[in-house]
Order: sequence, then structure tokens, then C-alpha cells
Amino acid sequence: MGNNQTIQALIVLISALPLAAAVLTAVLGPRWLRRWSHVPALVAIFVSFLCSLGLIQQIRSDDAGTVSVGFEEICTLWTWASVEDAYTQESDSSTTSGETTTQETHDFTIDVTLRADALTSAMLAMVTFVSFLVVFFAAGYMRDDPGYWRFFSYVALFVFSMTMLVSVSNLLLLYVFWEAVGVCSYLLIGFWYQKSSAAAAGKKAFLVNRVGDFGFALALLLIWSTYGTLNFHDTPAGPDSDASGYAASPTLDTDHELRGILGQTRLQDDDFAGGAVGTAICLLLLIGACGKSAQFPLHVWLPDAMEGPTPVSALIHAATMVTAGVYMVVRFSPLFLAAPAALVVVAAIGGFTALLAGLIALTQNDLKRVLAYSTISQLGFMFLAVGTGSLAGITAGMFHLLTHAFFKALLFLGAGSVMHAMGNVIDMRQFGGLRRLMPITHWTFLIGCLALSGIFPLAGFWSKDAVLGAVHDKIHELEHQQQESEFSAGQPSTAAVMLVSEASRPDATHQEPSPASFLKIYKLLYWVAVAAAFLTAFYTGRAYFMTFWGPLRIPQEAGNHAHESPFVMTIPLSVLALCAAVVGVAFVGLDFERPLAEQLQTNYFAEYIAGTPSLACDMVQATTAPGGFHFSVAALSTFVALAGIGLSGFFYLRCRKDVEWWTALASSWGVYQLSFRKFFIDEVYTLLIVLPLQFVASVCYWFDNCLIDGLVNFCGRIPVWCGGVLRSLQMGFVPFYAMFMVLGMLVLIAARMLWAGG
Amino acid sequence: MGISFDTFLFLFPEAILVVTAAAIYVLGAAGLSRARWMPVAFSALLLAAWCAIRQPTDLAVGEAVLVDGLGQGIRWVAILVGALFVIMSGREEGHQLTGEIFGSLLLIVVGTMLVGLAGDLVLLFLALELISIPTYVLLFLGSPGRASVEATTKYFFLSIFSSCMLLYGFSLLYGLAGSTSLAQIYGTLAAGQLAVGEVGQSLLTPLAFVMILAGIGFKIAAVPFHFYAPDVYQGTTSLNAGILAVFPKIAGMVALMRLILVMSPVLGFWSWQTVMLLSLLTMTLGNVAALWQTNIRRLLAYSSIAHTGYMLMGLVVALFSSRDVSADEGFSAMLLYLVVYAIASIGTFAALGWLADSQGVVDRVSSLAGIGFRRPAAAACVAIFMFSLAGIPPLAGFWGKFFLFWNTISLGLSASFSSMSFCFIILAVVGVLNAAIGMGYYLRIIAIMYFPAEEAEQKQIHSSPYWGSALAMLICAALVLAVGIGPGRLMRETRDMARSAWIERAAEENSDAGVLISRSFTSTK
Repeated sequence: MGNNQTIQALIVLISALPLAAAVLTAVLGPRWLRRWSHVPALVAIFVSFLCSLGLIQQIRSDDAGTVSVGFEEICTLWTWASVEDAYTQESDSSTTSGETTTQETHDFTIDVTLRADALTSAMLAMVTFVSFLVVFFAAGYMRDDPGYWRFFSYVALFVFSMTMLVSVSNLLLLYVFWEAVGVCSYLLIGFWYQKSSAAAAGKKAFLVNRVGDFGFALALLLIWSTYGTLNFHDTPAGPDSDASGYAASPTLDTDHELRGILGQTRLQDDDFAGGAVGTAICLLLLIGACGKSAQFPLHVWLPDAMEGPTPVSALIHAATMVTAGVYMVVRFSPLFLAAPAALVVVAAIGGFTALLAGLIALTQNDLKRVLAYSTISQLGFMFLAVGTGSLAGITAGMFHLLTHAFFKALLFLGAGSVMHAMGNVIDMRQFGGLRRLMPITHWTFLIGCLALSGIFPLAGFWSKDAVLGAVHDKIHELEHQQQESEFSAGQPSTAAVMLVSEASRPDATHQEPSPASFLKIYKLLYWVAVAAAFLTAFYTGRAYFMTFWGPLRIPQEAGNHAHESPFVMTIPLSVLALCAAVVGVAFVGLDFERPLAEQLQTNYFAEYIAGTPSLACDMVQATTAPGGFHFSVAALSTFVALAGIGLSGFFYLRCRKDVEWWTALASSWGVYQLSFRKFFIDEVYTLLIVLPLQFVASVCYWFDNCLIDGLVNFCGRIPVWCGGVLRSLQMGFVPFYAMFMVLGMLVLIAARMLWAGG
Repeated sequence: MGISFDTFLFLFPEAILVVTAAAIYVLGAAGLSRARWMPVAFSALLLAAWCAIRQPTDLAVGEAVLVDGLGQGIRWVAILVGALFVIMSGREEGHQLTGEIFGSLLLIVVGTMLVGLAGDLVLLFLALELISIPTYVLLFLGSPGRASVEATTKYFFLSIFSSCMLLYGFSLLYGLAGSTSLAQIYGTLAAGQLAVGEVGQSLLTPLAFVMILAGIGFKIAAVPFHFYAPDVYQGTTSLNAGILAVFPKIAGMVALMRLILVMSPVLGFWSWQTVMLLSLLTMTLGNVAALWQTNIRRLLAYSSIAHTGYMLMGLVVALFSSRDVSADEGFSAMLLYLVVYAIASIGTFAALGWLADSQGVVDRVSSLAGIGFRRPAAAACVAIFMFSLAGIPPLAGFWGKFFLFWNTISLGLSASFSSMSFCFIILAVVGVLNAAIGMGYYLRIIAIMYFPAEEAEQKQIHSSPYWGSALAMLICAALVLAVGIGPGRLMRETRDMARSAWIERAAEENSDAGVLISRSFTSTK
């Protein structure tokens, strides 16, 4: 099994190298490395990237034999916590048939396990590649910062946490690294803590994420209660079992095996909790994902997180960490498929966020904030795609995640390059016409913008089209189902039979959703997504034209040395621009044997991702397959993209004066203000959460200080008063003495009686 | 009424500590400086620990003392915690140097040990008083000044009041069962042979439970009885605040656990509902009130109140499921949380004792500004403690919260309690939400240490030259990390502690005719 050993070595190396770099930089950085602090991180992450490419190669070579169940390789490093007979649980033989409840004692073990599968390897390759380029860029960008070594130590630590996050095979470990990337993000947002806004932004990010983690933590507890394990994979019971832990074939004695949440045996049996508990698990997971991926109710932290250094924004807040939520939903897609209602919520939140963030991005003047809202909006697209719950949608979401990582990192680094030249000014109103001054930044930024807008043949076009196509397919599928049910409803007897069969079915796990109710939602979401695509093109064009066109304007802060960035910064930009241009086309396979309309049927990336065990199971494979290329959808999205760019060009390029006319008109309706002030969501949070908490706290304070202190002060006077009384006793009131003597005697008698009795 | 020799032999470690304490009180008047007494107290603890190890296992101990895993476990916890505090109090910046502090400390340790071992209401009460009375002395010795005297006075009066309530509860329990021995009380209650009639039982049982809860609620700072905590913590030294935050909480929780096990046959559904209400109130109020505190010890007082609320969750689970073995899980989660909380709290107060500004002590949260770079070791330790208290994963505090919440939620989900499950799910949700709120103020402390705002005045914080606090701080940090990375050992210990406390009862239950009666009684509730 040399192949397995190679895979295990690779997956350990990928995470271990950045950790080693982080420790090395932290130890040696301040004294010895100093200006060379970026070297360990750079080398380690590059080697990690090569390892992840090797991993993909290994998985692809192994893939052929096991297409039906997907490929996974589990690597157990050590046992973190192990207590035998730790808890008892009323165990059911399976979650779907809960008649036999017996008290069983279970061991509690948490194994530190890594997994290698298609999804993980794709994420690993993306994370390490973008990280490498960002570290390269940051070596130039952070050059004169006093915290040079600190920065690279944090970044390497982040890369370690992120690679672990996508490669662990245990929900608890996923939670651990979920928090770890949060801590790294907190440290890096607040990197320039001298700015009070940066420290506050870091705190806000961490706290909002904690609200998301509240959902995740509850989901974790619920999953443990429901599934009885936290491992993704099946755990062989005895030590004599196959040490590789690879359970591709349904093993002979499944009774002796602890079924993982996403283990092969469970996937094959399709044994996922449905009903209220299943929906609750999925919704709680979604809360966690919303926190990390900045979706609607919890998106408020991401724009503020732009206070951090720009490479951090590119790496953590555009390409990698914020996609962890999407990764989690994809990883748990079988659970979501078992709870269709939760799936609709995922799609709805995604679609709504895409529209809302797009609207806010229209009016922001801070270049990085425009990009931040754009990130939120694009993440919304990914959630929408995954929320369709079809294989086409899930792979489209992952595809968009991949392409977005390239072009958004490119745009952020481009913005960083602009910032670098403009003396850290990022307000788009203060500069303009930079296309001559910074040609490389300009051209790469343009490619990023076009890719983001979804212009053929750049990366964004293919992935956005896949997302829209998946929603489109979903609508077709639902319409089809509705027609079928209408057809069967025409025959009353059948309906009655169906009702009976519905009621008598023991498991409500795979109760089909009523298509009619969801159909309208998905139809609406389709048009919402198209509108969001238009907005994307518009605000992207706006940012581009305001920054690079018009008369040359340079803010005072830049001084006289406004210049194109050095090579160390423009090389990563160029590489990313190349990726943003070709990464979409590269994965599209032309199949010339088919008719013209179906020639674009294959998407290698989607096929590869579909080899993940949780996507390769029957219940997911039964849904709409990816690759369906819709010319109508593509035409529509290209049209809106061109319209958005054209309109922004009209407003911001040709006659800049019209901008004021336009804003005056919009502000007269209050729309402009609404968008500019981000729909007042921060203010609403202050009103609904911060102020009540503050009120309760101040009530407690008042209660403490006035009421209780008053009471205690009153009590405090008693000793003084008592002292006075005692003094007066000592002064010689004979009757009192006498009385106390009598009392003392009585006490003694009582004691004597008790003594005798005892 | 003699004490058998075996019992004395069993209590030998406690006796050593009491004798040493008495010697320190007497000889302390001779004016030997505090630093000299530290080794004496420390070696007394070592000796006690040695005696506890070497103790013969086949002692015929009297009924007043329980020999079980819980008692032994608490004994070790008390010795460990006591040793940490002894190391810390060798010297303190800007405070009087008195030897008596060690005498009081040793007595508090003995009190805590005895709470774990007590098998009799009288011994239990005396053990709890053995914690309270030296605490008055400690608070008084703490520091001169009005605030300190006020804090002492407040604590003194309210503590006495709480003792009265506890005693009243005990007397009612005695009245119900006609005995002070816990085993006999349990036997009587389980057999239903109460000294009072049916009506008397229905009246007196709740009264006894509430009185006991109120009395112990003061010691663990549960919500309607918590008012003293912020004032007293604020008014006294870091060391004393640490002692108040740890010892009474350990003792109170263990005492409550013992009494609940004893009273379990007659406790109806109202009991867990009462405790659940207390738990919800305690954690929410503690966390919310801590959010905007500016005084660091006051903040930590509210934080300790909030942690009491979490621990009560375990008690609720145990109370509800007292009829089956899953009560163990509630208790063991609570004990795990208790130990983990104690370590992190001691560490925090040790760190605060070690750091000192030009005025002598660190009072305000803002005076910690920037120590992340000037006192990296202390700041790193404090950050570890704060993250642990907040329950961030790889640290010890995470496991405490994890098991508490998991027990609650799995009780809520288990099919057999479906009518009540709603309450437990609410409890778990509120608990997790509180953990998120709590992060707010822990993060504030971390943020101010590492990300000081530029305009904030950065006081010149220097570390006190005394090594003891630093050592205690480092030990605690190492323990927090060790338990976080390898929680298995501690989990096993607390589980065995919880089970032993129950199995003793179960063994008696089997020998008793009360089995059937207690089962039928509890299953109707």
C-alpha cells in the first residue's frame, strides 16, 4: 500500500510545514531573521502547495477504480482524548428506527485524524497556492513594518489552521480549527493595533464569529447526540481491522464498526437524520457557516475587517477563511439533502446576501470596502448554488469558490498595490487616472474586474454561469416534479394512497419537499441572482473606472513618489491575473462528438469534486449532474454583465458630472443613503443587542451600588450600635448582668440535658 | 460518642493541617515574617498529601466520615489548590506581612477536604464553617483601608446569614428523617419511613431544599445570593479574591451534590426547575453584568458568578435524571468544570497578584494595556486563562463546557423525556449563547493586553519581585494546556468521583427494601 503511505505523508506535510514555519519565525524572527522573516513561511507554503498538487495527482490516479463510492484516505495521527465508558446513551439500532432504546455505555475518544479526498485536496491546493502568492506579495508590501516577523508568523499559523480545517476528519477538530482560524484572523485584523479602529474591528470580527460558533457548537452537540460519533469516517472497532481505515467496500461486519457522520456505510445506507432534528442540525450548521462566511445576519464583521493589512484581506477575508462556511456546507451536503427545508434556507440566505451586499457595494467609496461587499455578495452566490442541493449546484458552488479565490485575491492585492503607491489612502474619491502610472496593476486589476463581472472567457464567466445554470436546472426539476404531482393528483384514489403511504412510512427522512412551495422561492432566487450579477458588474466597473480612469489625481499623502509597485508585488499580481483568466477555460472540456449545444458538457473540476465520498453517494448522484451548459443562461448573464459595466462606464467614465446628478436623484429617494449606510444594519444591531445589554448591565450596576450598598451600610451600622449597647452594659446595669447570668444558666442546663440525652 | 482510632487515622492528613495551622496562629505572634512561614505551611501540605497516599485502605471508619472516591478526589483537589495558594501568598506587593494568613489558608483547605468526606450533617456544617471563619480573618488581613474593612464587614454579615439558612435547612432535613447521618437519612427517605406524615413531608421537603440551596447558593455565588461577590472581590486583594472564587465554590458544589444525592428520593420535579431557573439567571446576569465592568476583580467576580450558572446546569441534569445512571454524567461534567474553572481562576488571580503598577495593585482593566509586549509571559498566561474560561477549544475550559452542554442537550433529545425536553434544549441554547456573550469581556482583557489603543495611558506595570505568584501562574497555565491537550485523565477521574458517590448509595439501595419504593416514586414525577 505504498500509495496510501504517500498520501498520508503528503497530507501531514501540507499542514505541518506552515506550523513549523510559524514556530520558526516566532522564535527566530525578532533576533535573527528580521528582514528575512518571510523566508520560512514562503518556502514552507510553497512546498505545501507542491505537496497538495501531488496529493491531487495521487487521488486522481486512484480515482478510476472507486468512482462509485468516491475516494477517501484516513490518516490517524494520535488519540487526543480517550475515556472508556465515558457516557451512556439511549442508543437506537439506527437513527431511523428508534424503537429499541437501550442504555449503552460508550467510550469517548477523539482521534486526531486527517482525511484525503477530492474536496479536501482541491481546497488544500487553492489555499496553499493563494497563500504562497500573498506571502510573496506581502514580502514587498509589509517591507517597512516594525512587526515584519510577527506578520509572517501569524500568516503561517493561519495557513496551518486553514489547511487543518479542510483536512481534519472529525467534527470536533473542525470546530477547533474553526476557532483557530478565527483567532488568527483576529490577530491579523488587529495587526495595526495602534489604530483603534483596527483593534475594534478585530474584536467585532471575533465576537460576531462567536455568535456563528454558537450555532456550530449546538450543531456539534446535536450531531453527537443524534449520530453517536463525531468522526466523519467509519471507525473500525478492533485494532485488528484494516489499519488504513479505508472502508470502500461495505465491510463484512458493520456491527463492529462505529459509523461516521459521513462514513461510507452510512452514505450507502442513506441513513441521515431527517425531520425536526435533521433540520435543526442543518440550520445550526448554517448559522456557523453564516458567521464565518459573512452571510446576511452576520455579515457585518467583514467590511470592518478591512482595517487589517491588505494581504490579509486578500488571503483570509477573500480567498480562504471566509470560504470555510461554504466548505462546511458542501462537506455536510448529505445532511442538508436529508433536510430539504434547511436547503431552501441556505439558498435563500445566499441569494438575499448576494443582492444586499451588491446594493451596498454600489455606493461605498473605500476601494477595499467595495471589494469586501463584493466578497460577501459572491459568497452569497456560492451559498445559493450549494442551496440548490443538486450535484450540479454543489460543484458549481465549489467551482465559484475556486475561481473567486483567484480573482478576488487578485483584486485585493491590486487594491493593496494602489494603496501602497497612494500612501495608504484607499478612498476612491481622492485618486484617479492611475492607468498610466501603474500599468501592471491596471491591467491585472482589469482582468480581475472582468473575471468578477463574468465576461467570457475569464474564470468568473464559467463559474457564475454554472451557479445560475444550477439554479435554472433546479427550477426545471421542481417544475417537472410539480407536473408529476399534479398529474397524480388528478386521480383522487392515487392521492389517497399516497397520503396513506406518507403516514405509514416509518421514516420521514426522505420525504420529498412539496415542489410548489419551493419552486416559487427558487424562481425568485434565480432573478435575484441575475440582478446581483448585474450589480456585480456595475460596482466592479465603478471601482475600476474611478481608480484608473479620468484625469490623474494623486492624494497628498502619496507625496511625489507615487510609482508602480516593485516586482515582488507585481509578479503575484500577474500570476493571479493569469489564473483568473484561464482557470475557467482550463477545466472546461469540449466534447466535439456531441452536437454543438452539448459540446461544453464536461467540467473536469466538477467531475473531480464529485469524487468526494459525501458527494459520490447515491443520494447526491441521483440529483442533477453538473456540466449542463445553458446558452440561454450564459447569454443572459453576459448581457447583464455587459450592461452593468457599460452603465458604470457611462456614469463614471464619460461624464463624471452625471455622477452627482445621479446621486442627487437617488438620495432624494433616500435610496442612496440606504445603500451608503449599509441598510443601517450596524445601527439596528446596536439598537437591538448592544443597548439592551448595556441597559441590563447598568441596572445591575445601580442595583449593586444603590440598593445593596445601602442595605449593607445599614447592616454595617449595627456593630457600632451593638458596641454602644455593650459599652452601656459594661457601664454597670446590674439588672442586665443578672439577666445574662440567668440566661447563661439556662443554656448550661439545656446543654446538660442534651448531653444526658445524647 | 467516641471517635474510633481508625477514623482518626483516616483523618490524619486533616489533623496535621489543623495542628500546623494552630501552631502558626500561636507562633505567628512571635513575629516571624510571612516569607518564613510559607515553607512550613507548604511542607504541612506535602506531609498531609503523603499521609493521604500512605493511608491503609481497610480502615473501619465511623459513619460520620465517608470513604469514597468523591471524598478522596476533593481531598486531592483541596491540597493542590491549597498548595498553589500557599505558594502565591509568600509575599504580596504592598500588603502587610502576617503569618496568620497561612494558618487561615490551611484551615480553609481542611474545611474543603472535610466537606468532601463528611457523611453527617453536623460535620458537613462544621466543615463549611471551617471555610467561612478563616475567610473573615483573611479578608481582614488582606489590606488596610476602608474598602477592605467594608468588604470584610459585608462578607461577614451575609455569610453568617447564609449559614443560618443552611442550618435551618439542615434542621428541617433532620426533622424529616430523624437522623443526621447522610446514609441513614437516605435510607429513611428512600424507604418512605418519614418521621413526619405525608402532609409534613410535602411541606417540609421543599422548605429544606430551598433553605439548603439558599445557604449554599451564597457560598457558590448563585444569583439571588451573589450580591456580595463583586463588592468583596473589588475591595480585597487579588489573593483573597482568588481564595473566595475557588474554595467556597468547590466546597459548596460538592456539598450540594452530596445533599442532592441524599435527598433524591423525595425531590420532585420542582427541584430541578428551581435549580434550572437559578442556573439561567446566574449565568445570564453574571455574563451581562461583567460586560461593562472597569475594575478587573469586579469583572472576574461577575465571571465567577456566570461560571456558577454553568456548573448548576450539571446539577440540573443530575437532579432531573436522578433515577438513572445518567445523573453521573451531570455530576461528572460539573466536577470536571469545577476543577477546570478552579485552575484557570487561580492562575488569573496569581497573574494579577504578580503584576503590580506604581500604586501597588492592578485594579483597572485598562491598566493592563500593552502588557502583552512588556510582560509577555504574564500576558500569555492571562490570555490562556481567559480563553480557557471562555471555552475556546484546545484549552481545558472547552472540555468543561463541552460536556455540560452535551449532557444537557442529549437529555433534551432523549426520547423518554419528551414532555420536558423543551426545557433542556432551552437551557443548552441559553448556555451556549451565554458562552458567546462571555467571550465579549474575556476578549476585552486580551485585546487590551495585546492591542492597546494608542490614547490609553499605559501605566508602568512592573512585576513583583516575588517568584511565588509567577510560579503558581505558570503551573496553572501548564495545567490548563495539559488538560486541554489530554483531557482523558481528568475526565476519567471526575467520572469515577461522580460514580463512586452514587454507587455507595446504590449498594445501600440494593440492601434496602427502599429500592422499589424509590423507583415507583420517582417514575411518577
